[in-house]
Amino acid sequence: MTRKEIKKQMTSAFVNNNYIRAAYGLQPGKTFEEEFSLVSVENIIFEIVSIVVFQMYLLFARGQKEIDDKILNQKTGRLAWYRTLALQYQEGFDLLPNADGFDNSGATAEQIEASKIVKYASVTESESPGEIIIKVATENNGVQEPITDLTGLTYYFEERKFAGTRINIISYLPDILSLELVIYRNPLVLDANGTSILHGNKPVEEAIEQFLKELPFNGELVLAHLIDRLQLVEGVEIPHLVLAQSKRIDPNSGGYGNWEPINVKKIPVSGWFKIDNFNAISYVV
Amino acid sequence: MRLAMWYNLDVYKLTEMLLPGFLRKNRIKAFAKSLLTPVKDTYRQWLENRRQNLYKLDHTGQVYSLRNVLNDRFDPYYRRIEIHNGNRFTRAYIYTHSEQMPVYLGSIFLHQRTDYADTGVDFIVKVPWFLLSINNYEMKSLIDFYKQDVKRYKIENL
Repeated sequence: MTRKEIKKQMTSAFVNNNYIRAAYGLQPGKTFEEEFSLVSVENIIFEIVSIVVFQMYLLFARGQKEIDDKILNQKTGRLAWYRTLALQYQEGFDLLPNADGFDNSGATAEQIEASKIVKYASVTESESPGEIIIKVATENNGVQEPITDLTGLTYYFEERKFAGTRINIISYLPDILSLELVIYRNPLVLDANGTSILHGNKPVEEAIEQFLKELPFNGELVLAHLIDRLQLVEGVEIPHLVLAQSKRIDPNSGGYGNWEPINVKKIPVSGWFKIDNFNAISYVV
Repeated sequence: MRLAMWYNLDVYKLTEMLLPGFLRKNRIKAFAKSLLTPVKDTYRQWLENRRQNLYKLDHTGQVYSLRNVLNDRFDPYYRRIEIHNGNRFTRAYIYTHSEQMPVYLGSIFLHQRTDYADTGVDFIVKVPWFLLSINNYEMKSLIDFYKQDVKRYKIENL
């Protein structure tokens, strides 16, 4: 609505009123502007009222937009929101008392960047009610590593979480993956140790490493997909999986637990897998 | 002087400024202001409404935020209200009724029903004793407004 429209509403009601028309001797069909001069008191009063009402109209419109924006950006408490929260964590910085985020006053961009120690995070619902599991990991010179001291991160989540949600933060050493494979090789391309005769590297082992690297954090390892990948390696005729098993950190003892066989697929408890050695892979013709 | 923010509007001042000089007489000023008094009043309501809406939107059921809301309202100076996680004790059974085994326990400490994992609350609001009343209607309605819907809670002495 424009200011002219607001004024028009008033003035047309004014000139179409029978009493007003009779009192002023107005001619039917003529507009307010045709009957009253710009400097008439009537016009000036209408002008002022329309300006003030229009100001109000603008305020309401802008206020509505402000509220709409806020609603759009409202914090949801969904799992993805908790993940973002984890990635925003800054070790060594204090929290803002009245808003999300950290007090970054006086810190340089490098300091802020360095304080964001959570490089990988994944949030899932736990089996126990009302609890969410947050798996985190950091990175050191490009190598994924667990975060050893979780006290700061835990305090942060206890403050920032929605009241009543239980938070279980996990940052373990990687799950160890062991693959027992029988690779039927093309003897012209791969030798008995799986070494490429032409290039001197170990293409099967590299393919497995690459496959694990491409899994997202807390991504599911699907054995069939891994085998599909091995099938593409040059010199591999039949990649046959005999046994896949993994072991993970036992939170009670702190060390690795027992080997557990993997059927079909597995999500690593720590969030990621690591292979210690490839001794269980044999190459046959 | 008030800051010239977009949401500030002085209706009377604006009215006076808009009157051309030859009309700035007391009678016509008074008339124009009277006309716009309801607008001024509506504006004041809107401003208060906006302030409240922004407060509501800026606060959530997050622990720190809910704690701020409760302290702003009930303990603005000392800010003693805290929010804790609910207890999750497991029940220790001795004998069931049907077993009819008498047990003499002496005097032992028992938890409240709300402190057990299966019937318990998800979080506990701890407030200074003078804020505790039988119903705590006002506090509860405030907590209910901000908290996530499925979460159960209770209000306890600090």
